[in-house]
Amino acid sequence: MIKQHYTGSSRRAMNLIWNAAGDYTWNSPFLAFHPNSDVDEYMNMVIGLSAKWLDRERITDFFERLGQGPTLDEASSLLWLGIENCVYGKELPDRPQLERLRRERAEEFFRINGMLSEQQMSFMSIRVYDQELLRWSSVLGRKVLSVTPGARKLAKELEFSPEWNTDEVLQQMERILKNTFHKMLPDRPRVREPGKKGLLRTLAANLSSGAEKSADLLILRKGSGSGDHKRSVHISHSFAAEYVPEDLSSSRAYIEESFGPCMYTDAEMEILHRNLCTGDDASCRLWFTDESRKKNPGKEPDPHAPISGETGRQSALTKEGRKLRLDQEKQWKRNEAYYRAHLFQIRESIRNLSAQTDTIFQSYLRYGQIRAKRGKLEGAKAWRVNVLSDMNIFLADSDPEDASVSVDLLLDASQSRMNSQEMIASQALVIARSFEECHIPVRVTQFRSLRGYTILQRLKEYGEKSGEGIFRYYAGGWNRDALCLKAMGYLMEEERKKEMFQTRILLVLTDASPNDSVPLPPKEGGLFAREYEGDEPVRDAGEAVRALVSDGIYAGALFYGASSHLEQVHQIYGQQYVRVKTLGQLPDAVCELLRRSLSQAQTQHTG
Amino acid sequence: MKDLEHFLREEGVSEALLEEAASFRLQHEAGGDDCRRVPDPPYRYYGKEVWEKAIAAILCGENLLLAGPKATGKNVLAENLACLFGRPLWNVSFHVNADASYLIGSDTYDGSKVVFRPGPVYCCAQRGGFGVLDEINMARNEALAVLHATLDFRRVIDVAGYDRIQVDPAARFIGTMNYGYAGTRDLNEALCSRFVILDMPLIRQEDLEKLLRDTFPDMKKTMRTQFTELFYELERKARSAEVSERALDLRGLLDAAALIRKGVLSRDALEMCIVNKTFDDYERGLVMDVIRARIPMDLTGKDVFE
Repeated sequence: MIKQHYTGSSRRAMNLIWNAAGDYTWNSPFLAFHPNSDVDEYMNMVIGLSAKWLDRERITDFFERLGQGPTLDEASSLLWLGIENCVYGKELPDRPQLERLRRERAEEFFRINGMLSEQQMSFMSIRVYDQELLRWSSVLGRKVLSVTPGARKLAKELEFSPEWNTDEVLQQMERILKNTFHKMLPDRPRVREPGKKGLLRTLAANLSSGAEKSADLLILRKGSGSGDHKRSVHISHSFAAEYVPEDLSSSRAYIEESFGPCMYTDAEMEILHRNLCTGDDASCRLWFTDESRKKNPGKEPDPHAPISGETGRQSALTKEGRKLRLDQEKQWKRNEAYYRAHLFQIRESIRNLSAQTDTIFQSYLRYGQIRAKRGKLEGAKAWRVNVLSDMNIFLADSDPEDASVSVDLLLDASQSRMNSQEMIASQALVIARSFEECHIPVRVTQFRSLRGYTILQRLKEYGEKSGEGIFRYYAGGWNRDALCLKAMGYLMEEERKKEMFQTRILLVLTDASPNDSVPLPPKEGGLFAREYEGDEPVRDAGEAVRALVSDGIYAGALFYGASSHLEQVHQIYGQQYVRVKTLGQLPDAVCELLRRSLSQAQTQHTG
Repeated sequence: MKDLEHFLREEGVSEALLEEAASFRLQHEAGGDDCRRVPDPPYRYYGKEVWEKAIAAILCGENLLLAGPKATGKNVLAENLACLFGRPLWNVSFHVNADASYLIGSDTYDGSKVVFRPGPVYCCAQRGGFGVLDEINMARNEALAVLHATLDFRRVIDVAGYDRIQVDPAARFIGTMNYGYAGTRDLNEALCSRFVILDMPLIRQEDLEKLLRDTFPDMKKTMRTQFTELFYELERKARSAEVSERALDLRGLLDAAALIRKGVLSRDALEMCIVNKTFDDYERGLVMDVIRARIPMDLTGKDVFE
């Protein structure tokens, strides 16, 4: 359950408030912090208790009408002292510990103020300081000599009775406002930002809120960008400008500028193009980059640098590249912010998924063990000794490395994912870290197609524990699934030849809707190129998956798309897919796919 | 057992049901080794309505599926039921690798020949026990298919290559499941239809106070109330997903009280039994905040108990 994005200390403050209020649905407009920015435990409890014992709507409305400004913030701080006295008395019989917490709060007041510099003290409101001094001194049974009779009178007025109801509390607050601050409560609420109730004055800095993320416009996008359901964006060819294959050479500079240099040499790329860019993909090119994975990408151009180039075409490209860089940087920060805001849930998901994965993997290793003449007795096979004179009734103690598994997570980074980018990045991180904790190496790659290039960006390499590159996930462009799958298969086969891993699993997060701006070549005897969408790309992708399987790569899909594409995902991946309706289900879906893939691997090994 | 009957009468459980349970006990008296397996649970299950539903279901020959979140007393109820009906108890803990041989039994070599070594479900069915299928939804549905004939009207176990045994009329199976745990799944329809499903509610506040009073009769009333409130505050926090369910641990709360009585400081006892069950520092901080808002950190046995 995700409610609102808070920073660490704000969330702790909210938890204190919710706990005291006994209601986790209340979105308190107040949070309390000490001047040193530590969470003020007691005053946050007071805020929560005010919601429990008084009419929270009317109290909130009062402070909203009060508005903001130095004097009104001062008034606000004082009035909270009044409320404190009231709710303390109300709650004490139910919570005897409150008396001790109040005393600790009083001691904290003197401790913190003793540590403040003269300059810090000079920023304080004397009026509020006096009232706090009087209140907390009385709690500790100390005498105060240095305050005026007026301050003592106000302190008396701020001792709101525990017997009072909301009406009486509000009346007293209005009275103090009028007599002490010579203010009348305005009828209309003023605009007030969510505030933090401070020890001596309301601290500035607004509560960070989880505002709805607006849809990012990506200049590379050629489609209409019209959403086809809540979390998906469909690119329509009717609005799209098809990419002209002749532009490929001029696009290279742009792709390199936008996504970083290619991981492979020109000669290596030539081999890849010759093997993979064939048939329907003959007009396309591939680009592999691991720039996103690096913490400080070396040749990364400054997104704020002035636009270079004089000619129209060159100038336009560079401008787009610059915008894309900026958008990528922004999204990177959003992904990280989302991760930080949901740190606790993410850590919990990692723990849960690790536990599941570990069980599945251990189970697979157990099946992968070899029968031998010594080791762990397999009771069910004992009959073979007498009947078949077969002494191989034990399971050999094999090294888990012998049955090594690697997982490749392939993330569709086309425009259809743009409304869920932060969520996808976080979930990919959960999956990657969980698997790595179980010593299953995971590689994370995002793919998209743009200007004739199918770009595979490495976000995380096998064995990397932190996987921080995953935060670089960024959606935009098209997706030419078949070419991408062929490319992944080719690379994984290369790794198999190096005997890196015995069992290789490829998990693809997809909406099973291949769609690209580079058209399919005309049919034999035909004159016109055909758009890359619909049945043919699906069939191509299906063939690519079957080729992967025949090469011993267990490919499965995490389908996150519209129901209308269910038939397509079935055509591409057969039974090897799991539908994910919300991205929160992704870890469970991954486990299910992992289980299926390993079970398929077991069948092949034993068969 | 008499204590349990007395407790149930005090709880207000229907006299007619208790009498029928007593006659069931007389009709199926446990003897020999089975007597050792009849549990004597240290804790009672509190909740009249749940008790009545469960007793009625057992008397009707049904198998029970206790479904509910953590700390709802599923296993406590299962043990209490076995005690009330005087039946030996077999506990089967389910996990993702549980399979037919784990449940029913497997072949083994006794030095001269391969023999069948019965599993817990086989033993329970043969000797008319109560089988607790703990966390039944942790297992794969295909592993559970072997139980279908055991749990439905056929009440048989057909062990391939060996024997077909009839399930004893006194045997009952009690599944427990928690929807929220990692690794759990929905049970399939075929299995669900073989159980009557009892939705386990969270223990009521007055019942929790009673539980604390019965377990620690010398606990001061004010402290009992604070421990009770603490449990519900943690429950609200876990339900709101602000902390995980690890911190919501009724057994942990009772253990903490026991440790305090032994002389451990309240802070240490609560850390050991509740706070440290969560493994995330931030989460621990949130749990500690809730505890600190209720229970002083320097309490000793004398402060909590009379």
